[in-house]
Amino acid sequence: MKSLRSLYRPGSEMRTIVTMLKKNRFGIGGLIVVIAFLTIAILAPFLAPYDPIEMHLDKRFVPSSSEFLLGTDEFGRDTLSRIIYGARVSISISVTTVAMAMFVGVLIGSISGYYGGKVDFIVMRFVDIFNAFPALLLALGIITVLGRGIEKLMLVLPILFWPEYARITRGLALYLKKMDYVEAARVFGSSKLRVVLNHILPNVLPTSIVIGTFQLGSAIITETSLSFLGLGVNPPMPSWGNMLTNSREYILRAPQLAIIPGMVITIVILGFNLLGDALRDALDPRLRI
Amino acid sequence: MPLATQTNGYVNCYMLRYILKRLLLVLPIFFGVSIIIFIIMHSAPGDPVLNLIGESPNAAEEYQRIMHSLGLDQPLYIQYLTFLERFFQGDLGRSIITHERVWEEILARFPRTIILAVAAMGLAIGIAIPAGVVSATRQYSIVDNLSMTVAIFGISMPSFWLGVVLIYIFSFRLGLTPMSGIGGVEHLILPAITLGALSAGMLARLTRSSMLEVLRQDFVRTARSKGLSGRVVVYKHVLRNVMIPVTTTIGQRFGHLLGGSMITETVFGYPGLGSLLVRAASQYDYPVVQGVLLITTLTTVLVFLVVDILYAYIDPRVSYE
Amino acid sequence: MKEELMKVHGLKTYFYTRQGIVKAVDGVSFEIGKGETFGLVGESGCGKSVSALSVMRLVPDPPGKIVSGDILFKGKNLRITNEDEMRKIRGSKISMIFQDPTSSLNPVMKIGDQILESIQEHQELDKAKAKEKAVELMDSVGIPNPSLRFAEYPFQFSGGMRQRIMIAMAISCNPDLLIADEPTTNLDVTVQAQVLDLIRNISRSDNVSVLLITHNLGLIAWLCDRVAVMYSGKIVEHANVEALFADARHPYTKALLECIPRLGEKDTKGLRVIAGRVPNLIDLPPGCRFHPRCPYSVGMCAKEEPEAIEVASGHSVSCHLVDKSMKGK
Repeated sequence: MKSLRSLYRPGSEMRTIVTMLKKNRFGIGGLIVVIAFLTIAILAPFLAPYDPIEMHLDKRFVPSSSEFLLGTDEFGRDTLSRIIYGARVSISISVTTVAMAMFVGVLIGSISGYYGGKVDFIVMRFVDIFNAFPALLLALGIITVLGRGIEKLMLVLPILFWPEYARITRGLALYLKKMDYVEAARVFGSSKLRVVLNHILPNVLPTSIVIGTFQLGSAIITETSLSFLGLGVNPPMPSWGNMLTNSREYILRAPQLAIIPGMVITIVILGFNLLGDALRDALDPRLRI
Repeated sequence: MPLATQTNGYVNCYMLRYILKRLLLVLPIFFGVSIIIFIIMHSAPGDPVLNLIGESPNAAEEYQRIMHSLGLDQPLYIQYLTFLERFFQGDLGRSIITHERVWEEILARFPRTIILAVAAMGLAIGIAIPAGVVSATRQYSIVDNLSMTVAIFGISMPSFWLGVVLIYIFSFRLGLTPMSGIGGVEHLILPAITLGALSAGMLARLTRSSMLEVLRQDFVRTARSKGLSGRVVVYKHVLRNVMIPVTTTIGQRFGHLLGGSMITETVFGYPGLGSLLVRAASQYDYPVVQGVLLITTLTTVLVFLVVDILYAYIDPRVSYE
Repeated sequence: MKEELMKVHGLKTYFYTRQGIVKAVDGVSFEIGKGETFGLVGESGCGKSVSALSVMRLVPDPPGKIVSGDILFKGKNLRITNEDEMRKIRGSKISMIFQDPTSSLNPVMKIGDQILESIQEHQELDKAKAKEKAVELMDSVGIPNPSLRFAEYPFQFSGGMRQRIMIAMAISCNPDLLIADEPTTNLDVTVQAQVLDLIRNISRSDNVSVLLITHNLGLIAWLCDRVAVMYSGKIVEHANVEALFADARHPYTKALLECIPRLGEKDTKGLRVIAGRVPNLIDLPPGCRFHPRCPYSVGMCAKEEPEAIEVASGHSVSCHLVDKSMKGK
């Protein structure tokens, strides 16, 4: 793993990562998709031709036309605008989810792994319990009680995603614990917490970022799935998921309503996955050929 | 180093001890899970009892009476214990909406969801693992690129979309399968594919990367130096090691399948636990939600237990720790 | 001279990588006689392990490839033998033990089964007889309670024991040649002696030729009859053991011998080293590969690669400064 010196020269590691990334064409494709997604989400108000919740009841189920580039839905709302604003919804939820999950999970995992003993045992039982819940089910249970809507989702979803971080960073922490430079830090008088902060966390960071990239995609799928079921983002606010909720009913009349949002989701998730793959390959040279 | 032990056949004292340890761990997890579910369900804002009373002249007394009859005036931990007691007696309450006994409804639907999950997992394993093996042994070939492309799409497509697309193609356009409902194999196949796609993609990728890593190991070189053929090396030496991470993942995925069944069953109108849960959640039918959550999570824990034990057979090192 | 068992001639094994062609073995020749222990010695990365893997045709391909040369073994040229024939030879006529016995054994397979595998692959024995033989083998290499420990896993054994298991596997089919690639490097010092003893006994009692690969000159002195010194993919000196230690001619060999600290020597200057570094096998210096570090190099050394010159019977050196007619520098 990393030597003591490289810990204090993060720049050198970054440069290697960037070089490796550049060579991976799929990774670059993924990065482009992700950046496009971010841009669209941020610039939504400027990009969307219409208000996403405005209904044009005289122009329902319009297939793609010059007026409505992607057509309209069962309420005459512009699909393109809803897709654009849906990106906003997905991004805000996924980013907050992953950020919170990463923060909590990495901290808990690192401390648990490094401290070991009773702390580790208790934390791991806790993680076991969370792992026992099929993810969506737990979310559903909490949502039943708390209610729906974006804010609730932002609270609930991190609960589903933090165990993965905890598990993996704990494993890493256990491995790092045996490294000489980590032991040396203790010998020189650092408290356990300080060792975690200065030595464990920086080494755990690259892997966490890889996990985070994949999780961003996962979070979007979770959010859209819940919205699809009517238990996530409340209509009329557009989510790529709830755009599909009633699509089966209209599948004969307007299949594009079902196809387009799902395709968009797939492309964005694909982007995150390709980017995640590339990052993982860049960070773990052993796996490269 | 531990001394030689009486190892005969498949079971020895280390293995028994391991199984026992695992069984014992199930208990605290079960309690933890049930506590969490209980807490969640009883955190609902608002007071359901008030809703039941409405406007009545003797509101206060009514309130007390109903509270008492429902046992809601007891301290929380007693309510929890009552809840547990009833659970072991097969009583999970009644649906607020249909007034049916929750336990019965779950029992009726449980097998259907299990069948779906098993079918999905079976498909996933049957396709993904061979694909991963072939991809690894023929790295960078057309087969490899094709499988991995399909795999990455598999993990990127939301299941609710995949389901709708499959329905559109195979039910509408081609008329090959029914659109919804339950019955024979034809009712099961599209839902199984939809539910299993994500797991299949993950397993294919994992098998491939795991194989590549194992193939690099020194003991593979030793096996070759003994004059063993490539096929023997792969099937006997490599696969056994590859199955270590793969088995763990299969166990984890099974849990996710139970969760994913919510979506798949909704898309396909499949009357299993998943669609029951979705309906109950949208109607705030707490007893049903609580019951389904409990049963499903317990099933997952049991599956984890089985997988843990299987794992010990594949990798004897764990049972000796 | 003993009867010849294997003759390697002009072996070249290159690795084709993104950064360039690594000439790991670049024209290596040696012979191993029947029942003889031959040592191949050199620093890390000089190509000795790759030479051994090339003989077994176990070089990972891609990126490695045996580019040219002949490997003559019992009337066959192993370089051009087809894979099926080669597999019959591996494990039965030529077998190999590796440096790290921990990673070289399948962790999830019983060691008894791993030994059985060799036997069942090459010999027509029924299961019971094969198992008997395996247990016998385990006993002969010094594993206590062999019939009980047959069903155990590698992690239940110590490093020394694991290496014995490897040896048991390797000799199970009575090979003509045993290749030992740094067999004791990863073991404790006390265990090293035991394992080396075992190898020597096997070599003597069953008349098995041994190709010993090591960086440790001490092992060479103790175990080997003849030895070749490798540097950067080439053999620089080739002699029988006494001659090498008594009368090393190549500057590199001399330097290596000088690096060995001697008891009772009053040297306050500290340990001797060889100045400079091993060259990058992709970007080799022109001429003699050792010349940048050689204290005796002259102009020609940087231009032409030296040929192997025989300075005495069975003793050849690849150095420009060695004259066929002269003795000494």
